[in-house]
Amino acid sequence: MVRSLGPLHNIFRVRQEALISAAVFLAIGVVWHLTVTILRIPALLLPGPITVLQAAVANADTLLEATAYTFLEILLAINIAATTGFVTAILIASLPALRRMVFPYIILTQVVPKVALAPILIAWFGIGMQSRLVLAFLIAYFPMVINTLAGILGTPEPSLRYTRSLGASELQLLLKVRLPAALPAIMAGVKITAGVAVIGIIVGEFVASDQGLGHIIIESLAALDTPLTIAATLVVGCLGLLLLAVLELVDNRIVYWHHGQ
Amino acid sequence: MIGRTHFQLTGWIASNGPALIFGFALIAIWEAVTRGLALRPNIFPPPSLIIWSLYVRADLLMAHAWLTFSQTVVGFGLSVLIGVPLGWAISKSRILFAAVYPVVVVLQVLPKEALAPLLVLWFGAGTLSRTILAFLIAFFPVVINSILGVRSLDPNMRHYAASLVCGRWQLFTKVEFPSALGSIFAGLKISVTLSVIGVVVAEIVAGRSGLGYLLLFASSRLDMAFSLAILAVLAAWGGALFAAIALVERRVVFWRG
Repeated sequence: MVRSLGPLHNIFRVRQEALISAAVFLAIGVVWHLTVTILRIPALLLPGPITVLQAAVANADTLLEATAYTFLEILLAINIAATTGFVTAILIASLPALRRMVFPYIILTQVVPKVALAPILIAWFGIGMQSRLVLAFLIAYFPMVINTLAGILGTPEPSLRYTRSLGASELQLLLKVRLPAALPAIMAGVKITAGVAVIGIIVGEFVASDQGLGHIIIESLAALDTPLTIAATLVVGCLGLLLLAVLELVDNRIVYWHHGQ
Repeated sequence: MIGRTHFQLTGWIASNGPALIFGFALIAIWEAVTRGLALRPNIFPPPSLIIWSLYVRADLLMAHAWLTFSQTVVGFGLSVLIGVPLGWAISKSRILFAAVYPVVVVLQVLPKEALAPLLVLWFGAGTLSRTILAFLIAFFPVVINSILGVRSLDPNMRHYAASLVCGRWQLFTKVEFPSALGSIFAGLKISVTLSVIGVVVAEIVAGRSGLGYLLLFASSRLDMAFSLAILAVLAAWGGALFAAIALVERRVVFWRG
């Protein structure tokens, strides 16, 4: 590793990776186009990238509106899950009795396929944003709790002992030592939460289908408008990618000491 | 031996006692509230009713559970059979790593569940589309963890093995593969629960059979006792798969405590 180059080296590496990724995805697009045109695959089954682009442009208004709606839902779900998960983790970390009671269950929730809750939530909350938000929340909440808790409880013992020796209170310990030490784990938790919140909202829109990109996907599929289905699916992918890219940038800024290593 | 088992049991109860009491208390309160407030049992069923419908509809459940279970196993198995060797190849070849790894990382963060409707269009609403979705969702954690496992090998170990005149095959079987196993199993534990999610999403979006379909059907008839019973079966299946992998891990990677 060329350490002296520091950030410059990092930027170069990131640029190179981004270039390679872009090249590979461009190649996928070209292969996709060539396959469709040479094999003459009907647009109903698999439209070429140009047809998909045309469909996206033709339906730009509906797509944009749905994207804004879905994006809002996703942001809401991430915010609710991240804040409540964060608070829960602090509560659990400061109350060992509570930790012993609920922690095994929080771990257990990891093996439950929570997307299966979608139909049940519709019955309880109706078709609409509410049941989708609850679904995304239930999927996104637990990873946030687990990561934050692992970060807070994983604070190096020597730094805790040192701060205690300086006469710090438990609150100071939490604010000045535990939380900063937990920051990398917390940011990792937020990224997982964001990723799965997208899944929760989209699956919710598939099942409780009245608005959003998931609704467009299901509707266009039923109408056999495959170009629009693919366009909307690609928008979902871009949305997920964009969210995580932004969070990655934020992570690099906030937890700068962790990535420099 | 008996004394030791007994000691372990009391230790287990001492560490998990509060959680067990909390769980039982929660179920008791749920039962008391739903019955005491006379909530409509088809919408807010008490736990006893859920267990009852589990028992009454056992045949129907088994018929659909078999499909869901087998598809998760096939989807997960394929992701391992293809993912581990591919991860190996990617981490061993400099060109493949430069070209494929960034793409794999990008694909990993894409919400694959969104592909469910398209997969149904291409492969029908049957077994194939569900298995493919389970495979797609479970695949990337396996690949990425295999890559990380191989690349995290301490170079000193490789030098040391080379100093002992260790051949390529021996290097692979005695050094590289065992040291990558810890990371590979971490990936398997993530993807085995993801494969259940994949099958269930495909079944919910466009299925004609399987537990996800049954769940959608039961919910649409507002039979929430049965819906929650199906959810319990799915949770148990996810837990069983995870436990099975953890068990194999403990056997295979025994040196890792």
